[in-house]
Amino acid sequence: MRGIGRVVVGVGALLAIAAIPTTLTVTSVSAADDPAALITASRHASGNLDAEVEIRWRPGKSVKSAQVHVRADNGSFWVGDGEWTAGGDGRSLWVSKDGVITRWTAENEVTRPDPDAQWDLVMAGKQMSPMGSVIDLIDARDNKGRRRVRLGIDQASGLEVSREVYSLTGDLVHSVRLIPAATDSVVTSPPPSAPDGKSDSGSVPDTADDFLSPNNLDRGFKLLARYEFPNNIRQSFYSDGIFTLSIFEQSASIDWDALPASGRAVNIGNANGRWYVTASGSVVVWADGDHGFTSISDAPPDVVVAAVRPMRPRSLSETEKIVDFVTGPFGWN
Amino acid sequence: MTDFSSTNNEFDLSEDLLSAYIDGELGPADRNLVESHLAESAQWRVVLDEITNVRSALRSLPERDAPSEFWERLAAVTDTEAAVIDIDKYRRRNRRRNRWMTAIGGAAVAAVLVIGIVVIPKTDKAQPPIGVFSNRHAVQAVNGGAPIVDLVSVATRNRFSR
Repeated sequence: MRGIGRVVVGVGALLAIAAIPTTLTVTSVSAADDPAALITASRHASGNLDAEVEIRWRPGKSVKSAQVHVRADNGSFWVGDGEWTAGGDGRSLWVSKDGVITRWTAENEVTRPDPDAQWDLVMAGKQMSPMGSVIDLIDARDNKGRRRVRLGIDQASGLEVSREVYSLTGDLVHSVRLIPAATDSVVTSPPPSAPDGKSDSGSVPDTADDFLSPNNLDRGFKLLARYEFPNNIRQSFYSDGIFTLSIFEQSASIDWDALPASGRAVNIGNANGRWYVTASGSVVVWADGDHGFTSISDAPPDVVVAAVRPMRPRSLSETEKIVDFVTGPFGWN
Repeated sequence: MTDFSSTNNEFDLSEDLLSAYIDGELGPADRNLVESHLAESAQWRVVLDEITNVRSALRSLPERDAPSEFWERLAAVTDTEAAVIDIDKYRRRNRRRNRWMTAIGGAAVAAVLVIGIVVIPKTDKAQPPIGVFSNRHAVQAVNGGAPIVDLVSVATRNRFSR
């Protein structure tokens, strides 16, 4: 009997141990029943994080990567610990590169579309972070059920700490993920303070009529803000709830020879362009008459191209028609 | 014809002078000289008779109206001459006009080229500052977005190199 009792106690203990993670899992799933809510909450998280992240991107057949130290502390955050650093608190940001410091200050927090406005969001499981915390994985699928991005929300900090972007064929084209930090890479010094530096421009009214980018793009991208910069550079900032996309307008055509030849040809409306995969995401460059356009986005390349494709070539002004008529035959434009 | 080689005269009588004599166009002195020669020379009196007879024969011919085509031909010849004259003038005038038109046209083309090259700015080409654009986009994405994931690329070197 004593043997049987030990067996019963042992089995009971095993069941109890087995029940603990099960209980945790049930609790976690219960908290993450709504992936859209989890994503929205992560955008206002103020948890602490001190970690190393790896960013990988696939510009062509090769894969490039870089490692960056990140820290978050009660709503403030910093990335980088070398000569290239950036930080802020969401509305006030600074970027320091090679001694040049630029500050941005947003007047208001932009309101994005709901995360599930354009995408089918599903919980895709959990994984342990290098720091030992649990990360909730969320997949955003398109209307054909294809996974286009996997987001990772750190339960401990509430922050989004990983993002994997997939091509139309399911290949991983861009990723940010936590990696184990090397012992000597742990930063023990206080977080860098926001330095003084030149300020970048703020937003401009949406009624500005000299923007060529529309209020709405394809694939559910809605205009959130417009900005003007020196040298007649204008930025229109969009989001579809999951991804963000900017279109930069320049009053000059594109110097294609100055761009990497690795880009792939793409057609935007009736204009020819190229798209690239960079550390910053998908970059699409195209020219329309004497205006150049550059789109930067964290969305998959095909989504970006589809989003900006409705930008029809604008009609030329009378002066531009004369210039086109005079200089066209000589190949000046 | 009448042979004057053997005639000894200092007056040099001729058929033209004799015709003028017949027509009464000579003055008294010349008329006396002609009549003196005619009195002395039987040959010149023959010539005088021939001229007088021919004139009488011509005057005796009936007067006829010229055929209508004659006047048309004459008018045509006159018009042709006039036309030739007008064409020459026209050509000269056209040459002058063409020179002006060529000059004006050349000046116009030159003006258009000058305007195209100098006055109207040529289409500029610029390299998009992809790195700067990426930073600006990342900064905007952080506002209400995922600060760590959205901003991490800003601290990455060689993000977009040739």
